[in-house]
Amino acid sequence: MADETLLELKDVTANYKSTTGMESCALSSVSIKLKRHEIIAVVGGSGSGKSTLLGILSGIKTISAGQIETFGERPRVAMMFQNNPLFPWMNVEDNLTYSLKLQAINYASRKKAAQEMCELVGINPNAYLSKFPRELSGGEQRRVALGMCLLHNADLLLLDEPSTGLDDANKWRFQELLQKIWIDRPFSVVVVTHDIEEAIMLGARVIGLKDGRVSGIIDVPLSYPRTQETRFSKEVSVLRQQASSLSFDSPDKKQKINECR
Amino acid sequence: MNAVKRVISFILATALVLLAWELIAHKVANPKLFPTPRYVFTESINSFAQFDEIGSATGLSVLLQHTSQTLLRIIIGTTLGSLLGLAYAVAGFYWSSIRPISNVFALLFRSIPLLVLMPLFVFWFGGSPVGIYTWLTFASFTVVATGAIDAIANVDLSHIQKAQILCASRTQITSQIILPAIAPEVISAYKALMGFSWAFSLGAEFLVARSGLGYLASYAYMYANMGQLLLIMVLYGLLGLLTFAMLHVIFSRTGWLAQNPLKQ
Repeated sequence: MADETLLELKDVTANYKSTTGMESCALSSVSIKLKRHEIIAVVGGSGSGKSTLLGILSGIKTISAGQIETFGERPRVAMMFQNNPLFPWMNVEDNLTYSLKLQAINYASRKKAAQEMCELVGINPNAYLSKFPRELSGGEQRRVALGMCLLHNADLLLLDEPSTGLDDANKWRFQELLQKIWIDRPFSVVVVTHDIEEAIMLGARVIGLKDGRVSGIIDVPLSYPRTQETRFSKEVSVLRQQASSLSFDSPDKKQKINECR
Repeated sequence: MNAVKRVISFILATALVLLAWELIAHKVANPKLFPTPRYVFTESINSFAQFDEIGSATGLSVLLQHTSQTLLRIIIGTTLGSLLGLAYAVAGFYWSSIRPISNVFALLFRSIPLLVLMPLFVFWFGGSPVGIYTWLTFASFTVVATGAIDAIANVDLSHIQKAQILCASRTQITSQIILPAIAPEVISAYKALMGFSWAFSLGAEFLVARSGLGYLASYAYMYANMGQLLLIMVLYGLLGLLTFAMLHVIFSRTGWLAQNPLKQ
């Protein structure tokens, strides 16, 4: 299964139209192949096109040129947003089971699923199911958001800067949790991050984006689960240096506009 | 404990206002222009008996009867107007093709001072109750529709995208994302409306009605009865406070709104 392709982006270009009507290029001729049950990490600086890539993969952003090829049925997608990963007006239970509610699953089944998911993501259901997002810490919110995505039963999980705003302990805990769940479940993950270490700890490949183009791809030959020992190993240190070469320069907008034309 | 503090604060504030009123009426102002509280709450109340055509009712019962007329108009007018205003704003979200037109109308309504439109309603509907109800409904519609359109424009796009990615339909996004997301701002608009609605009703009743507090105020003004005018003002103040207290109780028990740290 690991070698089966889930989807492939071929020479994908995506433009944004500004309020003045000027088109700017967010992604330019990007080609990425995503395998089933694979985690890839996408790194890049602000404005490098990371979020646009997630938008395209999630279906909320259309492409201007190129092709998205899916193999078999179109994959079910779930996405964890960087800001406001949960609906603030819903409690934890309703957030977790929102996808099931959309599928008209009955209340008893949703309740049971919420309790099981809470346990899976390491949250005490009795204490947390009735809480609202603003009563949770950043780490707890991310874990509930992960549970929300998992209950959607997605083939492809998109994570937008999953550890932004978290301290190291919560960041590492989230990464370990994600790996633990992913190992047992057949979904693929695309993690967008500006954190090189996170990219190496999660991704089987690290893809660099710069000015909307792929600036390089690094294979990460480390087995899962990657633990704290892995994090402080020599291999990770070397990989981190390699990945740092994937540029983090801020984009030159003028150049991007010209390249798109 | 908070409730006890609030009651004590209210009693203290009321006592202070009454004391200041009594002092100003006695020491500073002309009692004919600024009667004392004692006069207002006794003589002025009794003087409303003159509005009873048969002549058997007390001043207090006449006052209560007219107050209930005003309340009924406000409740019906604001409820109908608010529901229509909310529906109008949500329809603009649901059918994106009509959004530009609905937004232009909202901008237009917002730009015209509502009280300026009142004489038009008087001409269109005369002094009939329909005119007052239509005016209150229209004014409420305008306040809530413009508030709700702003609120929809401010909804965090990521909430809508989250639902879209999870395959929510447009109807589900409208009912499960947009409506709860805009609830705090719509409730704020509704609270503001409840404040304006007393002024809206006063204006309408002042001009055309044969009953209601505005009607009583117009007579008090005509005969320069300052006691009656002050009493009506106090009554408006109390009714406004009561309305806000009721809204506070209702909205502080509704799900996530109760969790909102910025709730009033």
